[in-house]
Amino acid sequence: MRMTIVKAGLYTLCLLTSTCIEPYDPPVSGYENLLVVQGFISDQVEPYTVQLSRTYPIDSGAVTPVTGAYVTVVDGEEREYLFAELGGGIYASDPAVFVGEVGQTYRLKVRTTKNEEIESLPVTLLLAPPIDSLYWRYEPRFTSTSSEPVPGIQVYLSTHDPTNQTRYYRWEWVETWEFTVPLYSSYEIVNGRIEGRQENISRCWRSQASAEILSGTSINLSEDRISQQPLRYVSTDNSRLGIQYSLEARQFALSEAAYNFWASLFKINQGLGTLFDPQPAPVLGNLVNTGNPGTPVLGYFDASTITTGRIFIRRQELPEGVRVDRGYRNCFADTVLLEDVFFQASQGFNLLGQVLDMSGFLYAYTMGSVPCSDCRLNGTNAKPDFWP
Amino acid sequence: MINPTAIATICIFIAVQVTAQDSQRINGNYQDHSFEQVIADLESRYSLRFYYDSALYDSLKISANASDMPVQEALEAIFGNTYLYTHWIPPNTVILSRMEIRQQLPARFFERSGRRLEEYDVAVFDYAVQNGQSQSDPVAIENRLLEIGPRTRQMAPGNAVLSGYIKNAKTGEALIGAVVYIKEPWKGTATNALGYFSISLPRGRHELAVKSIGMRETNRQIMLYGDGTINIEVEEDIIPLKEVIVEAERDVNVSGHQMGMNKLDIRTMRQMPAALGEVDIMKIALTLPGVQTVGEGASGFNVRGGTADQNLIQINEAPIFNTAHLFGFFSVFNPDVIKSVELYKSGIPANFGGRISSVFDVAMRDGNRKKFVGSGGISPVTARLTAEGPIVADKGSYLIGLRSTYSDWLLRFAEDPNIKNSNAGFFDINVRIAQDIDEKNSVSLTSYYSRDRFRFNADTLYQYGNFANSLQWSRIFNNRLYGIFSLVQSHYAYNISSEANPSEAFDLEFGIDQITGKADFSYYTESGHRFEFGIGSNYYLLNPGILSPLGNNSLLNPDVMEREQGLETAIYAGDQIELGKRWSVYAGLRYSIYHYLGPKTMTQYAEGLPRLPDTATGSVDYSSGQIIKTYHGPEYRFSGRYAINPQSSLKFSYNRTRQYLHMLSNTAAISPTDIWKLSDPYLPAQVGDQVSLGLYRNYRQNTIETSVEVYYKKMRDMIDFKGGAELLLNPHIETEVVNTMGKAYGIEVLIKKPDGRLNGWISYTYARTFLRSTSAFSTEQVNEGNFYPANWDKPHDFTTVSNYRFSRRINFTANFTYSTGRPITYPVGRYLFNGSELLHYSERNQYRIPDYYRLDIALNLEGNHKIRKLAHSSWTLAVYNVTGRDNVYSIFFVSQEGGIQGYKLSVFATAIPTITYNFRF
Repeated sequence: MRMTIVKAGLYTLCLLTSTCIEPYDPPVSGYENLLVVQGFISDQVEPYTVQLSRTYPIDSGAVTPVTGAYVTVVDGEEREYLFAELGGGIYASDPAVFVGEVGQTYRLKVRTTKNEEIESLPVTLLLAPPIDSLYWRYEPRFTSTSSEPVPGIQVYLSTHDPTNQTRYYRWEWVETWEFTVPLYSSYEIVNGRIEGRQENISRCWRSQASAEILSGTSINLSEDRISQQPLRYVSTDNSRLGIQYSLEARQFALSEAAYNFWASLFKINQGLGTLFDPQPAPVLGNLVNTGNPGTPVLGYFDASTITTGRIFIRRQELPEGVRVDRGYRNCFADTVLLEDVFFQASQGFNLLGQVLDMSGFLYAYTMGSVPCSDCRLNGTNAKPDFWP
Repeated sequence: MINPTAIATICIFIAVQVTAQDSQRINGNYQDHSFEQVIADLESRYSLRFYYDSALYDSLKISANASDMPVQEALEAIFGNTYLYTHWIPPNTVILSRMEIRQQLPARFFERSGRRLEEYDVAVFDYAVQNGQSQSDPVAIENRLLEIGPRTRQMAPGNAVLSGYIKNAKTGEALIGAVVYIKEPWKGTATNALGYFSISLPRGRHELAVKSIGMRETNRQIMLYGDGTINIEVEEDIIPLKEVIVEAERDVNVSGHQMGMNKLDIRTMRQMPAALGEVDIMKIALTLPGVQTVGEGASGFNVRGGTADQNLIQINEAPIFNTAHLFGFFSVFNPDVIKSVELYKSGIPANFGGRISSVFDVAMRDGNRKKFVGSGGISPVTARLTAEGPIVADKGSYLIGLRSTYSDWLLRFAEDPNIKNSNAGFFDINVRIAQDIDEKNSVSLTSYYSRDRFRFNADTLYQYGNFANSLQWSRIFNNRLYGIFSLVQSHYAYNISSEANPSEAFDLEFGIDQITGKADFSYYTESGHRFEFGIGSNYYLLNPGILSPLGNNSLLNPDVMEREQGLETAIYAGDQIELGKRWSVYAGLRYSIYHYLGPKTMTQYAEGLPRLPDTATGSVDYSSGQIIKTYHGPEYRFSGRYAINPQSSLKFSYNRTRQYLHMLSNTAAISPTDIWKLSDPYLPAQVGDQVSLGLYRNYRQNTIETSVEVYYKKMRDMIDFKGGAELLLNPHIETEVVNTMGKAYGIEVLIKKPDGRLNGWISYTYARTFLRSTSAFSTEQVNEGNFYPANWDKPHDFTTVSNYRFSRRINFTANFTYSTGRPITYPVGRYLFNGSELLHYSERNQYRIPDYYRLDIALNLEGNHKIRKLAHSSWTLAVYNVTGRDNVYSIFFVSQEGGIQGYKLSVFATAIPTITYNFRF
C-alpha cells in the first residue's frame, strides 16, 4: 500500500519532472526551402557580417550557404555600403568605409543569384547601457541522468539604464575555462628521436559561445532595470569548473519588435515540452521578399551597440567538498620498454617520463594515451590574453 | 375502537337522533398527520365515533384546519381535501366512505350533468408509506388498485393529468429522469430535476410503471377518475452492479425523442477503473462516443468537434469554469456527492444556452431524508468524507461532502529538490440543503467551493478556485404547471505570484463572475403537449488581469486591465408532443440577446487593414452601463422521433446555439491559467449549427440496444490565435485573434448491453473536425486560409466498457480505448541562426502523434450484505494502463547545445495500480 502511494504520487508528478520525456525522432518528411538571413551591425570599428543560408530538411542535410549574392546596407541618408563575400555564405563590410552610428537607421538589401530581392524593415542602431555586474550563485540541480542533485553554479547579470530608454535587451556569452589532462607528457618524438617536449600540452583553455536565446525586458517595471538575469548554468559534471572558469557577456539593446521576435523564437525552439505548450508557428522577423511577399524570409537584421562584462570563477570559490568531474576515466601511465616505445607511440600513446633502473640507466618510458595526456584534443594550449 | 367489519351494518343504519350534543363545536389543526392520528384525536376530544375501513385509509395524510366550527362544517374542513365523503349522523356517529352516501336522491338526478366532476377539488392520494412498511410488502401496494381523482360512477371521457414525485424509498431523495409511463397505449414522461412528473393520460384503468437507473422497476394499478397526484417511492436495486448505463432507459433508447444524450449514473461510474483511485466523471464521459480529449492529464474535453470552452459544464445550474484539479489529473467533481450526469451532444433542449457544443449537466444528490449517514473513502492521493441526514424527517435534508488531497506529503518522497520544495494540494467542499416547504413548494441551496494550490520549487505559486452557489425554489402551481426559480452565482479566479526575483516579484490575479437569475416553467396540456418556457439573464463581470508588485523591493509597475461586463438574456419556449403512435416531436426556440457594457475604452482600428497595434487609429470611451455592442439571434432547437416498429426508431435533430463568453487559450490543452473573454465589437458571438440523424434499434426484448448517429456541424466565429500570441495582460487581444470557422462531421455507433452478468458497451466513432481562418489578410490566416485539422481531430475512436459480475460481492471491469493520435505540427526545415540550429514550422497540424490505446481493469469487492452492521465497506483494486503503453501526449523538438533533438512526452507511461477503500456508516 505504501509503495503504491509513493508510486502513484510520483506518477502524478511525472510531468513536472523530465522522467516522462524521452528522446524520439519521428519521421518528418515535409520540407520548405527558405532563405535565412542573419545580419547585425554595431558602432564598433570592425567588419560587420551578414550570413545567408537556406533551410535544410529535418532528417538529412546540413546548412547550405548562399553564395554569389549582392548584399548592401543602406542608411537613413540613402548611403549604400557594400558587404563583400568572404565565402561560406558570409558577407562582410569594410570598417574603413562603414562604421555604424547610434541613432542612424539602416536597411539591409540582398539580391541572390536566383534574383530574390530581400529587404529588411529599417532598424535604428540602439545604444546598449553598460552591464552593471556579473555574479554567480551556488545552485545544485538535477540533470537528465542524475538521481541526485549535482552541484553547479548559475551566472547572473544585472544592468540598468538610468534614462529608461532601453527596456528590451538581448545577451550572448562566450565562456572559457582552463583545464588539464591527468598525465603530463615531458617527451615527444621528433624526427624519429625522443626529445624533451618544449610545449606544455597538459594545460589548455577551451571556449564556447552561447547557443541559447537570451532576451529580457524591464517594460513592466518602474525602472529600466534588469536584475538577476540568468545567463549560464555550469554544472560540476564536466571540467568547466575544474580550475578556473570565465564568462564574457555581451549585451545588446533591442527594439520592441526585435524583442518579440527573439522571445517567439525562444518559445518555439527552446521553451517547448510542457503540458501547456504553445502551438508551434512560423517566427518571422523584419525581412521581406519584396519580389514575392508571400514567401517568408527567416532571420533578422538588427543594429545595436555592444557592451561587455567578464567574470572569473575559481575552483576554490566553490563550497568545500564539491567535486568537479573532469571527465577522465581509465587514465594511467604504463611502463614501456625502450624497444616498444616507437610502436606504442604509433598506437596513440604519448611519452610521459623516463624510467631509470637502479644504476640510473634509462631502460623504459612511461606512456599514456593521447586523450589523457594531450589537452589540445579538447582545447588550445595558447593562454588567452584576458586570462590572469 | 370500532370493529371495522361493523361498517357494513352501520352504513345501512340511518337514524336521526337530535340531542344537546348537536351543538358541539370542533377545533382541530392538522399538519401532515396520518389518518389514524386525526381520528384518534377527534375521538378523544369530542364525543364522536368514526366508522371506516382502516385498510383503505392507512396511508392517508391530512393537513387541515378547523376552528370553532359546527360538526358538519368541521368534518368538511378536515376531510374535504381528501377523497373521503363524510356523513355525520347526529349526534356522534361519523361514517367515512369513498362513496357518497345519499339519504335522498339529488334534485336533478335524472338529468345528466357533465359539470359534476369539476366541482370537486383535486384529490391527493399519497402512497408515501413508511419505510418499514414498504420494504415489508412492496408487492401489496403494486397490486392494490389506487383510485385517483374523485370517484365517479361513470368515467368521464378525455384525459386527466396525473402528477407527483418519484423518490428513493431508502433516502427520500428525488429521482431525476425516472421514466413514468403506461404501456398501452405507450405514453410516458420523465421526472424533472426535482423528481416531479406530470403526465396527461386517458381516464380509466392503467398500469403505471416507473423505471429509473439503478432502481427496481415498480408498477401501480391506478383508476384515473380525474386530475390527481400520486407519489411513488422506489426501492433501490439491491445489486447495483446490474447496469452500466449510457442512454436513459431500456426502451427509451428507441421510444424517447431525445438523441445525442447520454446519462451517467454515479453508481455505475463507480465500477469503472480510474486512474489514481478516484472516480472521475469527466474521464468516464470520455468513454462515450463523440467525446474526446487532447490527451491524458489535459483538462476539458471536446464534444463532436467543438472546443473545450464550448461545453456548458454546470452543477445544479451553476456553471463551473475550471473543471480540473492539479493541472488536469482530477476532475473537480467529488464522486460521493454526485447523483448523475447528463451530457447533451445534440438535440439540446431550448432551456439550455450559452455554449455551442454540449451541455454537461451535473446534479448533486440530496442528502438522506430518513437518517444520518456518513461515508468516505481513501485512495492513494485523496481522502473523502460525506455526511448527510434529515433536517426534518422526510421533509428536508442536508449533504456535506469534503475532499482533499494529501499529495503534499507525497512530494516529500520525491528526490528532486525542485519537487521536494514544491507543494501541491487541492480540496473541495459540496453542500446541498433541500427542504420541502409544503406539498407544492420546495427550496434547495447548492454550494460548491474548490481550491487548488501549487508551488513549484518554492518559487512560483499558482492558486485557483471555483465558488458557486445556486438557490432554487420550485413551485407546483397546479397539476399542469410547475416552475423552478433559480438564483445562481459562480466565481472563478486564479492567482499567480512569485518572489524568486525580489525586484520583479509579482502577483497576478484573474477573475470571472457570473450571476444568473432565471425562471423555468413546464406546462402539460390535456391533449398531451408538454410546454417548457422560461426566461433567464446572465450578468458577467470579468477581471482580465491585475498585476501588482509583491514586497517592498519589487520594481514592478502595477498593471490593471480594464474590467469587462456583459449581460446575456434569453427567453425560450419548447413544446413536446406525441403525434400518434409513431411520431414524437420537440420544437423549441430560444432567443438570446447580449450586450457588451461599459465602462470601457475601446481601441479603434483602420478600416480595410489587418488589425494590428500599428493600425490603431484611436480609442473611444464608453461610460458605465453604456451598451458598446449588441449581439442577438434566434436559436432553433428541434428534435423528433419516428417509430418504425416497437424495436426500432429513427431520430433527428437540428440545433442552433450561440455563445458570448469565450476561453482564450493558445496552448493545446486547457490550462488553469487560461483567460476568459466576453464577446466585444471585435469578437462576435460564436454560432453553432448541428444536424444529426440516428437509427435506434433494440434486440432481444430490449436487452441489447444499438444506435447509429451521424452528425454535421458548422461553427462560426470561433477563436484561434496567431503564432506566439500573448494573451495575458494584453489590452489588444483583438490584434492576436484569428477569426476561424469550423466544420465537423462524424458517425457514432453504439452497442450496449445494459443488464446481465456481463454488461457494458462497445462504441466506435469516426469523426473529423476542420478549422479554417476566415480573415482576408494573410497575416491573420493559418495554413493560408485552408481547412486544417483541429488539435482534437482524432478520426477513429473505439471504446469498450465491460463489466462481469462473479457474485453479488465481486465484479470485474475492463475498459479498452483506442484512438487515432491527435494532429501535431512538425517543423518543415532546420536552419542555422545565432549560433544554433533552429526550426521552421509552417502548416499547422499536418502530422499525427502515434495512436493511443489503453486497457484498464478494476476489481470491486463489496463487504458482506448484512443489512445491520456497524459500517459497510468496499474495496476497489484498479490498474490503469495495464499494458504500460507509453501513450504519447506530445512530440516536440528542442534546439539545445546548438543542435536539434526530438522528444516525446508521455503522461502515464506505466501501469498504475491503485487501491481504494470506501466506507459508509
